[in-house]
Amino acid sequence: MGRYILKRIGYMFLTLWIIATITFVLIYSIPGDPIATKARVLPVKTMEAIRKKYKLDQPKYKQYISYLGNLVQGDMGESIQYPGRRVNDMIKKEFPVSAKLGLQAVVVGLAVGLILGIIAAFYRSTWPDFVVIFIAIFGVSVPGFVFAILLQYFFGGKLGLPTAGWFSNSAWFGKGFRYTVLPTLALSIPGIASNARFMRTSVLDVINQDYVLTAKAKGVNRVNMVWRHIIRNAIIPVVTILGPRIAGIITGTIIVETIFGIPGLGRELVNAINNRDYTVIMSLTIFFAFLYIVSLLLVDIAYVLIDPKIKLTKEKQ
Amino acid sequence: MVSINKDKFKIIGYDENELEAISRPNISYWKDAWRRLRKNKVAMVSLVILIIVILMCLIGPYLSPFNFKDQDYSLLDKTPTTLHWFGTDNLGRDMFVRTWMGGRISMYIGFVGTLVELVIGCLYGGIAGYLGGKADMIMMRLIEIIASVPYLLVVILLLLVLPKGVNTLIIGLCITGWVGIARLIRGQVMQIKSLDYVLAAKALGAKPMRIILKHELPNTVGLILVYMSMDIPAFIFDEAF
Repeated sequence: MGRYILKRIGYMFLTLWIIATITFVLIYSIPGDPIATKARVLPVKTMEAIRKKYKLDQPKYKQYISYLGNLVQGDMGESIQYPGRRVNDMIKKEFPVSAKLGLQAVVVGLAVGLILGIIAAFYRSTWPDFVVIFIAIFGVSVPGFVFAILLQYFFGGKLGLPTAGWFSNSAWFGKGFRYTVLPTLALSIPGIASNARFMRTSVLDVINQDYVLTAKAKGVNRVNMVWRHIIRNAIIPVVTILGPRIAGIITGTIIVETIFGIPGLGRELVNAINNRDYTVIMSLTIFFAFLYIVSLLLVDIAYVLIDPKIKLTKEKQ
Repeated sequence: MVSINKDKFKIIGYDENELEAISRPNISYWKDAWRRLRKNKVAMVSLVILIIVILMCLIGPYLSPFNFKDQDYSLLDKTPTTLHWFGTDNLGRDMFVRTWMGGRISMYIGFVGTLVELVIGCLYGGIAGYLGGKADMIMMRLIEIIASVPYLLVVILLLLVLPKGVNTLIIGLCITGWVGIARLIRGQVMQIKSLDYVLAAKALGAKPMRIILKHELPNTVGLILVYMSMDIPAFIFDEAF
């Protein structure tokens, strides 16, 4: 197991390098560069000077090498669109915001989703099941922004929760917590919906197995049965989708961040692509990819811990 | 108490051939599934609504005399009338026809996109999960790469290379979309792989591809269905975006 994890970490660097290269090629094959699109009115000399500053005048391969060189030293470069903004600072400042919201949303989504899914499976084809399915369909088919606005409308005014804005990064609880309630709810709804659906299906698969019948015959009580016999065998699909969701959600989502006015990381990447902000695109992509790959590794480790039947390494035969 | 003696019974004989005859019509797997589905009222109502929507998407545009492109500048933003059944939009176009024409595209993208994703994802995930070891290592790294390259960049680039249209959109959505289902199937197959019926199939000399297609994928069908039911609306939203 230890060797496997080390191997995966080794592969991670290789994968990150390939991702960086592909993104680099993709960016440079899209016509237009950041200076040309934004500064048409500049005199030619100024433009050349700016190009020189960002090394855009050099041949592509030199740009590539110098970028990778900086990346290896941990320097993710400086925004071309907003001079003086370094990507490292951007991540340092905005990632905690997105991560805090995202983790809250994932925890809420996992807890509520699992409970709803298990209840629905146990009471199949009765009203609790229909209620859960309704919630799940609602969560999947109502677009996130509609739900966010509805939350603002109903809870913002009546309960006095702030509808938008952000307080401060330092305090997890306390004053800032009130600002996170509505965005967390909005973010967790799709998670609740899909976790509940997947859990319901796989619990239904497990519930008819002989070992559950055996447990029932032995007189194991419900809570213990769910905890020891059912969850472990049914949770694999939820774990599978949870990994990338954690990675995706802690890096922020553009819609919820825009509606609630949260200074998160999600909108930065979209802005950067629209502005052809090469360095920001590259660096954020690498950062996101890093989180994604780590999350997949954690998922694979979780598989083995949850279900001993799963083996990651091929045993010698 | 009535005593039951042996002489109250009489052996009337049996025909060897008749014993083997099947007296009732054979209920196939799909027939059985359909019978159970019919019992579920919510499902049946949904099925009827779905069929109506599909039918209207097919024939709806021909029911009204208007074309989805025709404009009528005297009727802008009108509420429904007997002439324009769903009213008109801000450019004076008939909303009834436009709804069904739009529905066609949404459904096409939803179904075709999901189908393409499903075929690629199931095979890829099944193979990676079943083979494990080195193959799994390489195939999963490939997934990491595909999922990590920004989706927006790929779409912009595709639009430059291919003509603008529905099919280009489907390609764009599918390039990165199959990753999710592939990982889901892989996880499930890894769990199923060590079960006895797979061992039995192996012992009978089944080839890996047969085990994946006939034994592993059918056992993940619940997951596949749930994924499909969430993927079709997701495709339709993405297309709108």
